[in-house]
Amino acid sequence: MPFPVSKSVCYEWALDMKLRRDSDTILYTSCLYQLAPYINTFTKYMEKFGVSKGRFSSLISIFSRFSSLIQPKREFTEKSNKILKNIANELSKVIDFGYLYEDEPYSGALLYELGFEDAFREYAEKVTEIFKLKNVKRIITIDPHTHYILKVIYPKVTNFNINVINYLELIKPNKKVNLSATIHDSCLYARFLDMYNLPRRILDDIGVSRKEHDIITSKDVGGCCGGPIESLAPEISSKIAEKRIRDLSKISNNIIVVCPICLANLSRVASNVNIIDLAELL
Amino acid sequence: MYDTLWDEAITRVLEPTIIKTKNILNNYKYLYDIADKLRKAKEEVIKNLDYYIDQTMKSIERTGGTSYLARDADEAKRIIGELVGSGKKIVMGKSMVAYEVGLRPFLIAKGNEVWETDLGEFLIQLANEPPSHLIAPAIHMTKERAAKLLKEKIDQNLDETKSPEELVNSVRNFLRSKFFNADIGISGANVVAADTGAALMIENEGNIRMTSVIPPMHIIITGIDKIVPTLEFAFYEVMVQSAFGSLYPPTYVNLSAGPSSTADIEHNRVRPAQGPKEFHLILVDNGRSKAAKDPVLWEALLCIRCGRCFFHCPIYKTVGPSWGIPPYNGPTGVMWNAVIHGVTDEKVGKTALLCVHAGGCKESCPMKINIPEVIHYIKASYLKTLAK
Repeated sequence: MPFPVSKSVCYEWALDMKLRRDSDTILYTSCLYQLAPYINTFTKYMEKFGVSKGRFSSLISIFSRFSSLIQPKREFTEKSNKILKNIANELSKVIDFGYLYEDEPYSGALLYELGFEDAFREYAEKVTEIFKLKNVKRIITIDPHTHYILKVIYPKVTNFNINVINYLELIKPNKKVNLSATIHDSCLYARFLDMYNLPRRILDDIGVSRKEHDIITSKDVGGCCGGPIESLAPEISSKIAEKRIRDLSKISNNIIVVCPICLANLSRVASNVNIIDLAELL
Repeated sequence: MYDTLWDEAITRVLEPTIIKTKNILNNYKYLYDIADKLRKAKEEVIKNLDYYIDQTMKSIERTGGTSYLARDADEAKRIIGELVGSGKKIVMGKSMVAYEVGLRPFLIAKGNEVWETDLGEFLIQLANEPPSHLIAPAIHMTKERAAKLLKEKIDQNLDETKSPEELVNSVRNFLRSKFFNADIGISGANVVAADTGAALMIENEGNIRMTSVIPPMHIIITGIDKIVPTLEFAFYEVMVQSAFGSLYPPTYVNLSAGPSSTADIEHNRVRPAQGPKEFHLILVDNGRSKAAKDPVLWEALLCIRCGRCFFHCPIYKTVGPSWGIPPYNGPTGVMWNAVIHGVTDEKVGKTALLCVHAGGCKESCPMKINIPEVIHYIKASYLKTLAK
């Protein structure tokens, strides 16, 4: 297993759901919702012990040391478990799928995003191999970073030819929610994957009164939660997050996000506003 | 490097500028279409750079002007240094390339009196600071800061309560005599047409018109990336650049193709007529032709310097003008730092690492440059050097 953080914290949400392990269509978490608040710790650890110094071969040992280093907070794990269960329940209404439990690998998106391309390539080949061994034909992603890396980057660097689909493209929720809220877009969904309208359509379907702004929630200005540089430049990252929340709170105190990194980074600095993942509403 | 109340300064300009540009693009729909045509024309030049440089230089010679190709910053300074000499009075129109090669301090060190005449550039000359934006070089200065600076340097009657109009009027009075007494005018160019050798310069203040017409010698310094195949595309360029840069139409578009002349007496061509006697155009390479051959970085050469991406970038908005290596900052500036200093340069790499790939730059770019991908490439190239 290339990324041994998939100890129980990654798959405990699915223990009582008894999902099939042998399905050729899988729900793929990449453990991102479960660990997003700790990516910062991991990145620092990674930079300190290897990757930036170029000892790419020791990546695996870095990952395993990391896995024993972090202890996610219980309240946070419960929140991400609920999000994951909601997504799985909603998906089960429209499609048959399985889940790899402790065998699910991490996508390596972080390596790519930080710019460690050689390490990422090496890593992606291993992950592709795992999916092949498990006979996976279709992957349902649940977050923008994993979706982008599998859909756009993997095919460029490995012989990855698995069909990748996002849960937002599949679900057809029929629930009604009484909520007025604005949306903080995922940069990747909105500006790199042509999925700016998709979360909006779902919010409309479940009856959320959606508050938009010509600039603050527009596709071309929108903005970032600051997450991607949290480990490199924590001050700038927090400043971006604070500014983003200041802007969004002019529209509504309920801010809907569609990405675990946005959820973690905005929640960290949020006061007097509710940061809600779209999947919490399902 | 910058004395700035950045959060205050950027907040004052951000939303009005974004809205202004959006309105322009909504009102003049043809702009998107000509922007697409311009991109294709610029791609053609980047792929055949040597051919178009040669054609441009020959066309300039045909107009009676003189053309030069400077391989790097030192060569550009040497060429202009020889043209200018010392003890001259020089007025400059705002030029990023002039800043890039270090022209102003070089000419001053040679014993010339040099004045920037674009208001923003004039302010940063007085403050001894680098530009903070491609087309708004003093965007980091609030009105109060500008007033304080002008009071200190040129006009004791000013103070922080004065209106922008009063500040501008004071600078106008100060610069008038500089224009009329100048020996040489130096400007940049937004675009140069290879087929005709004509250089086009967009402006609103009138300072470039005076810089390029009043002094007996006009020198243009510009990058080889500014070449387009024909004068038709050159006009597209000034339309697209000014529109995406939030001022449309621009107040002035100057076209200079050679020195002024007349043959009105017995069909005998004499120089000068009313404008400059001499016209020199220096095309600067300084890393551009190398970048043109790079499989990813080449896209940076498509940039027409409208500066729109700055306002769509969370890092520029938060960190401010110090994100980059002067004179180039902001999203396109990170790419341009790599064009000039190389993709493996440490300072360039560290600048690129701050990119959060929010993608607003890509969405706002008239040339549809995939800026986040180019920056990612710079990041990765730099990190590879660390791994060695």
